[in-house]
Amino acid sequence: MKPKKSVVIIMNILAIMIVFLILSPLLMLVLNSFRQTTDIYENPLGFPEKPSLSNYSEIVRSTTFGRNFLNSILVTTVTVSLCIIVTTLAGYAMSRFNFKGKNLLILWLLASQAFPGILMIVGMFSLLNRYSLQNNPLGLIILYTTFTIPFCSWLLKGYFDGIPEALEEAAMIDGCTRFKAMRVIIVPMAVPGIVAVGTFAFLLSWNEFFFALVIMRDNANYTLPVFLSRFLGTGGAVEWGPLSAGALLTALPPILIFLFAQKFLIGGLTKGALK
Amino acid sequence: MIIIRTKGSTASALPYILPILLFIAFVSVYPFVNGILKSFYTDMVFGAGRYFSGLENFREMFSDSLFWVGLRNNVIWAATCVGLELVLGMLIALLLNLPYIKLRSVHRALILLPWATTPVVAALIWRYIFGVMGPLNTLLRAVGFSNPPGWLITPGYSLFACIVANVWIGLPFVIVILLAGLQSLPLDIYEAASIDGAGVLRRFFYLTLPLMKSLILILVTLTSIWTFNMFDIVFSMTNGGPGNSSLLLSLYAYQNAFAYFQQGYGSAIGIVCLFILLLPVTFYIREVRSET
Repeated sequence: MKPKKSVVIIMNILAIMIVFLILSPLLMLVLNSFRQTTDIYENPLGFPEKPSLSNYSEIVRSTTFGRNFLNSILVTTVTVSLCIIVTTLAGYAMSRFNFKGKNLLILWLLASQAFPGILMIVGMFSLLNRYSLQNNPLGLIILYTTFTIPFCSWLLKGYFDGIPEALEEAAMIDGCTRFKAMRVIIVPMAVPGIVAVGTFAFLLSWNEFFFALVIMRDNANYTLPVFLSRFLGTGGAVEWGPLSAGALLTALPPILIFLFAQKFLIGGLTKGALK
Repeated sequence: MIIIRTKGSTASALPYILPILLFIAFVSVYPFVNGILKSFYTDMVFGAGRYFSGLENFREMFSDSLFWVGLRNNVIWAATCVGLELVLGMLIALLLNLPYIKLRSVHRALILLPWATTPVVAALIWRYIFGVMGPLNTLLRAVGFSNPPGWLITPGYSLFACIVANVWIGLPFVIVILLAGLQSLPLDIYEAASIDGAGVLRRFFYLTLPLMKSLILILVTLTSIWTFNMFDIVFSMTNGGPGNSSLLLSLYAYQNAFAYFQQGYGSAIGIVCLFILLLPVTFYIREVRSET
């Protein structure tokens, strides 16, 4: 049974309209970042009449934005690297070994995804203080790496489960150690999974707000979400022009990374949820 | 023939699991236990330390009207967000799953962008959209509503505005997972059903929904957990206002712990959240583990 041509066209137009509607808030942010604040207030639905980059130069020159951008880069890159190392090893072990307490570990990983942030930060506070990890990017890195672990090690375990053990057995018969067999044969085959895990860790640590808000005390140490929240202020007139420019520069890296790696991430997400 | 034991023992697994065990022990188990312990302590003013007070924090909480406001808002917030995400997500996934939809993978990638967007950025975009003189009210005036409300500064609307922003973030993930579920359904059953004369609605309610039941249940559980603990949106859009009309428990716990320096009270609120999530979490763990 073939659908009518008119139905085909209407449904396709509807799909495009829905996608456009979902993206419109982001498009508005892009447009506003090229407009003057007064212009934005006077005509909220307008297009940039004289598009200018002044918002960008203002946010970069007269705030700590640049510094905060570097903080976000530092926290994110270290978290992504640590996450990949820790969860590749753990995912491999959960797939290949029957170690004591394995079930308990998996149970804890699954349950910990529901732990309220407030409980974790209150419980962590004195330890962070004692080791001067408050107001310190290292504190955030340690927290974020831990938050990525449940989802990422679970996803990689699934990936390793799909790679036949006969491969590393053959290499081990040829005299490889197990670690070398894993590094040289198994890890390269799990690259799509590792890219998915890295993307997930990037999104989590770049976008995270609550823990950064509690831990980072000085302007210079903020990550970008905290910077934006402070710049937004708690009341009064908002400088929408520069704020939009800062917000767009904040949202752009995760969006670009996501577009680049979406094939792997969608694969990992749906595989994880559908398995 | 050489036999290599591939299922190794605990000792051979140790080098692989040592890093994860360290992180979990110090940054997951320790703060979890310590956070629970702290809820039995009361913090003294001016950072003069704390003393053991048993269940005092909980007793205080149950007679604290703001806690009940937060709890009520939290239930409305989570139920409305998850409900909207699921219904809209299913409708959009069904549309995108039609066999003649062009550019499906482009649509799918673009639809996920709000999910990759920094939540604080999403919150400030929506704060702008819902502003008194913002784009939404300009649009409403243009189509004839002469006096649209100030969404974020009117008690009846503020929570609703935050819900819209949160649905915008959460919807993409739901669409993509449901779409993947739809695409894995066996086609032959559908052909048989339509030959037997089953219409679109019948096929949806008697085939699609039952076949996707376990996926939908996992999805509801996961989105409920994420939504229930969400903090960023309400903090940046309304900060719980006006007059605590959009106060959520995560925000109220934060205010207590870090604005009023009552960490014990804050973690007591967190424990209540954990108790409420116990049921969905247990279900989620059972589902995920039964499938491996």
